[in-house]
Amino acid sequence: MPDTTPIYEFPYPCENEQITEAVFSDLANAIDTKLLELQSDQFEALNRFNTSEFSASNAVAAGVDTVIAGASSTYTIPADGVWQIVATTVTSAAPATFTSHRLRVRKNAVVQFGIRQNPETAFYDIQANGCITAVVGDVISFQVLYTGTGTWTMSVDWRALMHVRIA
Amino acid sequence: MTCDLTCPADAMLGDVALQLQKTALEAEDCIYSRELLLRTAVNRPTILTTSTALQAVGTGVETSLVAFGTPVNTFNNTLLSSPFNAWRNIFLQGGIFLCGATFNATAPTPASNTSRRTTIGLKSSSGLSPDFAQSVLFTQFETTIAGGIDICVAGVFGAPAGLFQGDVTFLHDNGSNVDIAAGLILWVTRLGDLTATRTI
Repeated sequence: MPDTTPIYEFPYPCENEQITEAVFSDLANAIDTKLLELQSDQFEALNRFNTSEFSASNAVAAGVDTVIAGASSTYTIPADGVWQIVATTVTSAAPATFTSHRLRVRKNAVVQFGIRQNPETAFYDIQANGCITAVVGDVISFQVLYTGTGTWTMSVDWRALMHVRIA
Repeated sequence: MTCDLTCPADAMLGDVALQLQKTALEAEDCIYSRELLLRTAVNRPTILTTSTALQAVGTGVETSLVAFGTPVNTFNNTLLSSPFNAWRNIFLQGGIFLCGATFNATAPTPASNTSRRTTIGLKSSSGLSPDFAQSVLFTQFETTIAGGIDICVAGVFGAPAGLFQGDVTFLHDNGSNVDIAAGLILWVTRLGDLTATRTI
């Protein structure tokens, strides 16, 4: 009956066991498998997920908490981990009048964090920056709200960076 | 990766079994030491805490939010266990840290255009000076619209080992209390050593 090493369970023959070619190949394959696993982990560690996208343009009505829609408006988390999300509004047409504007980052439609500003006399873009945990399949999306009159035509320039991967 | 693994010599079958056992154990020892290095290098110390209760901040008082609202660990891959002390003390390890805070601040009686200032950074761990040695701050203004102010601040700081603890403070001049809602997130991740002799 072969025995195994204590950590990775590499197999080796015991005394009085028949030595065949399979004994050598089993050990070699076990070592190879472990090395390939480490190589894969090393690659994933050096190439953490890091994506940057620009959403489609959205027309936001005053007083309507609007979920950004269209191309590149959401991100489906590809791997469990700790993720930093940075999102910035990019205004192509400011509303006629304004008293506040807000950008929020959501995970599976639940608000995680955001930023709200009192723009007073000049309408400027705002940036939300935070860190959350997320698992495979979680959907990151964005939501904006402004108070005033007219239409705010804007996009969201966002990036998602994985800091720690949870295996 | 190179390791000096001994090859089986011409010998009797019992010796072959013994040699294979030795080879297996040497291979495991060699790979394990490298796996430890890999895991240590890629498992960046990271802490996320989330508050679970609402807590108020009085007007005109710069208040630390680190222990606010009964925080719990949302993620913590360090040996530091207590949620707020872990976030505060991780900087004592030394290194380059990326950290931030996100939360909502809503005044039950809001005063329009009053300020909300959030500061995040490092303070001397000796307690000799209560001031920030390094900081990033951001000031917002109340809009007197339901929902309060969503706030997020982040910064990168370099901390020599043993000298600094982290802090996040909030200061407002609303005239009456501002409530920090449950869901306040404090996060920090160690990006690397303060002085890197070699980067890859």
